[in-house]
Amino acid sequence: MNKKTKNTLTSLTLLSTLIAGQAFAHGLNMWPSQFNINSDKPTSVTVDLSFSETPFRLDHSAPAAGISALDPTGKALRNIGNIYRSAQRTTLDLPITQQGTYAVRYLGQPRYFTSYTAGSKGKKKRLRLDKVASQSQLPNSAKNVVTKKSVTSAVAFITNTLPSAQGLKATGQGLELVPVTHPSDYVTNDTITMQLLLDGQPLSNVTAKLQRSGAQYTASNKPRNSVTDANGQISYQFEQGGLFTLSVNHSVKQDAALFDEIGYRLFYSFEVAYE
Amino acid sequence: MNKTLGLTLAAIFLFFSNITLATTLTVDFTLPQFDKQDYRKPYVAIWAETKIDTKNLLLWHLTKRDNDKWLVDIRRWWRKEGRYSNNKFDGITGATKSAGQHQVQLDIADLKDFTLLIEVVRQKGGRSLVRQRINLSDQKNHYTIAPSDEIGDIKIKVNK
Repeated sequence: MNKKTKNTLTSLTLLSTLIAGQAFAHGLNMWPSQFNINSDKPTSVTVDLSFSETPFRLDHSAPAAGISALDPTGKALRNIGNIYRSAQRTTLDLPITQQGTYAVRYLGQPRYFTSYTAGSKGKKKRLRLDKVASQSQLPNSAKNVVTKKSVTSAVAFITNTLPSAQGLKATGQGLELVPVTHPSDYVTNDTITMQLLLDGQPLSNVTAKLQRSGAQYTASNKPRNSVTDANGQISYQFEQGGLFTLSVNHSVKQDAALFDEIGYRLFYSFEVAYE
Repeated sequence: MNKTLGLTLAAIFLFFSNITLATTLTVDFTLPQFDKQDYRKPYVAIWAETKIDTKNLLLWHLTKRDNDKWLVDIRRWWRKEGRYSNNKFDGITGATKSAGQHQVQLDIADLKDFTLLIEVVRQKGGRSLVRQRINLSDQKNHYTIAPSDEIGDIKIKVNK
């Protein structure tokens, strides 16, 4: 094998590793074109969704089926507007007909990953299959077999004129973010508090990552990490306004037919106004 | 005679005490001139904030828009006052005004201890937010606020 072929093969292997890793590594951003509007008449707000490594930098679109919305009374919207899925983003024009706070939500289809070690060197391997389906695919020498169910969700809030609280409420299922400070009150130098819930219960001692848009233009795009307190709450203060995304990864062991562990990935996009 | 005088004095006293209750502010300010072809007159909001409440005092915006979507850009005013008003700002609104000197009379009703805020936002321009704490029991009747990008010298006179 000449050197050139070898290099090509190496990069191909590297590329396939990268592609396989995308679903895991890429964060989901879902953010409206405007977070606060004032309209007496029916209007719409555009919401974009994109999976990417760098927040708000379009890369991969999201399946439209996962998108839903709540009106200010907390009722699910029947019509969430036209949805367009292009290569790098999914866009919808959310109809706004009432005063108050709307919630946009995304809940992805669960994905299953079965990881194991095999061979004399104990190499780590992974199958994109659940616990049952992976049985026939696992080699006899497979050890440390763990199946993880991965669920990705995202939330964002849009307020038309008067802020309201009904749409902010948690469903009590899975990992959720609930605003404590109302999202239309996020301003510089004020304390902004939010709460994490797991199946409706406060989730303490969990790390939340915060990133600002435009991280690709800064010297370091390291996220700011915060840990939730005993009430599952985290608070921030910002000197500068901007568009932010909060992300949380949290895994829970669970003895189920199709998996051993459930991994939640939650993303919350919000705006802080400069006052 | 004495009785008539007494009644007259009482009437005069009542008259003046009524005036004393209706405190007003005279605010003199300048909207700076910007030498730009696409100059747009700024939006101006003046309001009072106390520890527990806010009071809308003045709003200059494009009144011909009955549904003014740009009001959200008067950011602090919108958050403290605008969004709660259901787009009804009767009695305090006016059209946007040209650059130059302006004098406004503001009825502050029974406010005694408050912060007066002035926010000016201009399309394709900047934004200024200034504030002055005013306590009527201070005996101080004149206040000045230093100029900033979108608003010149501000003189406030308390008419007790």
